[in-house]
Amino acid sequence: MTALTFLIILMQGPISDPNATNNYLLLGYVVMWIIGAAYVVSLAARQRNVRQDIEMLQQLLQDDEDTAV
Amino acid sequence: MELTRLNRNVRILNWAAFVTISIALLIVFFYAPTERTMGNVQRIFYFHVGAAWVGAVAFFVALVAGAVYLRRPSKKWDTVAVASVEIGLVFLTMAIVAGSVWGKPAWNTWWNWSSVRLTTITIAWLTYAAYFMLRGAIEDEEKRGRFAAVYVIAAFVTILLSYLSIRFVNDLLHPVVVGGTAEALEGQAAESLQEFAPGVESTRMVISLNASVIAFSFLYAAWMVNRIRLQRFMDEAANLKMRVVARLQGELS
Repeated sequence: MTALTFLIILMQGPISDPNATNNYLLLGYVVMWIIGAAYVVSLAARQRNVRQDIEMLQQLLQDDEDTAV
Repeated sequence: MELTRLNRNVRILNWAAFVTISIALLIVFFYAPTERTMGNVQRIFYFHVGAAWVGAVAFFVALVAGAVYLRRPSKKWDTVAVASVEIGLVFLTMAIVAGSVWGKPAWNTWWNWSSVRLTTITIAWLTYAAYFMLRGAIEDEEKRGRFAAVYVIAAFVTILLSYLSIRFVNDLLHPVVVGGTAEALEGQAAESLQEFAPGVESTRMVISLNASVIAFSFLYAAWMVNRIRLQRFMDEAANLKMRVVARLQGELS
């Protein structure tokens, strides 16, 4: 099966229209950058959540110290 | 690394990554020649190889960080390892998905399990994904760091396996590109990847590939400093939580 697929590839001559596969080119790059963008968004969201946690915890400790005084 | 210095590095590297990726995209779409057999879809090759190559480098960095951690246990090396594996996995996913999309017009199928490269890279992906399951399963920080370091060193075997597999097993679908000999390229990929023999067209292809690898290297560095900074915040939050819990326990007793 693999050999047959490769044979078909070898038998192909120069492509008549280089733009014929443009939709796959676009799909490849779009999907790649969706994955990249999803990672950047996940980094930003995690950072925002952790910063909110830090602020809240610092506030809790501050309130506790104020009460103790 | 001080937080102010880290913040400055994050800004600089974010911009550097954005600029180099933009330049690489321009080179790939407007400078690289159109491949004569596959047409424009072959332009996926530049970012596919760039992502895969830098992904492998990320896993190597994780291996080094794991080895250093085992020698001198320190939180910073564990952070470098976890950040590098996370980013390496993103790059590997990008490379696999892009390769699959390229495979559809080239092989007339999205995926082919008879290709040794496709099979070994899937094993690598699953192995590194399991790294996070291992980390999540161990509570004790020191034990988790040690186990994760050993795992990340052992996991690199899958990357070596993937790299070497197509050099030892005759993979007709996925030819050797990086580190391959001209003869091997001529024999295996002359028809599918145009001639890599000296010439203006092939030189432009090599320049485009190098631009893409450089761009992905900057992206890797930018994501690394961002992820390391995130880990600093997570550690700070964990310390504060412990202090709050200690206060509450003190009040209750």
